[in-house]
Amino acid sequence: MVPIEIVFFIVIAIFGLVGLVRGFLRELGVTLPLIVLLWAYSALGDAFLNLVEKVMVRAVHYAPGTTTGDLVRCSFYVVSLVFVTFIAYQGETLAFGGSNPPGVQGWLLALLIGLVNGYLIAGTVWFYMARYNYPFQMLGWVQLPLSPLAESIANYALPPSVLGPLLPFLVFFLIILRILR
Amino acid sequence: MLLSRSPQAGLQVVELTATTVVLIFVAIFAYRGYKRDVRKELLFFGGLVFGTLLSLVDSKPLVPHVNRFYRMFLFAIKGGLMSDNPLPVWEAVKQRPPLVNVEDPKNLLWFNTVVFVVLGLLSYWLGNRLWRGSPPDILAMATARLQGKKKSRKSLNQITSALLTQLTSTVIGGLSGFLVAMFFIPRYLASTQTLVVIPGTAAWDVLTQNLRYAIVVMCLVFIVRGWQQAKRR
Repeated sequence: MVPIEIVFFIVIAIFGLVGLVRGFLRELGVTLPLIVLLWAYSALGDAFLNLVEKVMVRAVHYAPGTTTGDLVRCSFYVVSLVFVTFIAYQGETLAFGGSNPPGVQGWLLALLIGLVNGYLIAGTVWFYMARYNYPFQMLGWVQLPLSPLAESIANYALPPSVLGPLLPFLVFFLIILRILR
Repeated sequence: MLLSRSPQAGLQVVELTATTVVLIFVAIFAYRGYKRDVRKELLFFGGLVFGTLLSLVDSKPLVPHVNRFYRMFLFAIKGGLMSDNPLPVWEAVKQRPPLVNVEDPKNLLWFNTVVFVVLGLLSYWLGNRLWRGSPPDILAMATARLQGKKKSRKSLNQITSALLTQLTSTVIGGLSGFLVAMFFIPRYLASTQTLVVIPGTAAWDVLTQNLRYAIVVMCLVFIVRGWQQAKRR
């Protein structure tokens, strides 16, 4: 089985290539919803899940066990992330207007933003998997224990922990850029 | 300037004389002067001269005006302007201590510093707003002349004139640096010896802890760069 950090880097590289093809401005249009989603996760994610669980207990008298509950919670984050990513890549509404920066500089910027988007997507999935103790391992998708490098990445370098306190500012910043362009 | 390393626990002593510090200021500002238009530098220098003159009297002529504006501001934000009876609000505002107290040396020092810095920044910014142009690239002009390129070839007089202008700008920049040093050194490094201690290991920890912020800021800089470069529809 391929180590999780290798998958992480491969996914980032693929998104980098996608960014190269799509161009800087369209990629920037993907970054904005991803950052907004991360902010929503950090501000409302747990509250929303608690609310859903309470409603489930009251309505159908069902409270998921620890393992199943973690799988459901992690799935919520992963599925909603995939959904928002799909919308962001498919739609044109959030793409920034204008034409891409010219020349090699434009290519490099597109690659950079593509890599950033890949990091946001792959890193967020990994973060929530780690937070809920890798619930997908029961499906055979992840094999524990992680390597020291993967442990370090999971502990320190994933988007929600890296960007945590900066998210509101980033959202504000990107929205201002979007409004001005 | 003395730079030495003690054998015990990697303690590092860096000793700078006052002259070295002044020269550092002069060099930095002279370089800025060389890179900027001479008119901008003159305006900046004028702002600093004005700031220096004000600092000679500790900016005291400004204190009553600043305190008055501060009270007016407090009165406005506490609802005095919208109130039917503004007298109690004004009385409450009058009880507050003034923003700048001339009797308190520390208070006066920060006020003086703020005035100096604001005047400097204002004149710098105003120069950038008024004159957008940047000085000619003397090196490129000289190279073009030596290579004998007809299109970009300038006369020797033009090159000399540009060189003299930039030299003037550099000197004015250096003088600005001297004024800045003259303001800050006697006020903030007044003792015969000032010891600055930077614990090396802690500095490394701080750097590694803040690395993530540095990376985020770097990405943002690239994003803004690309955003600026992208043409509007």
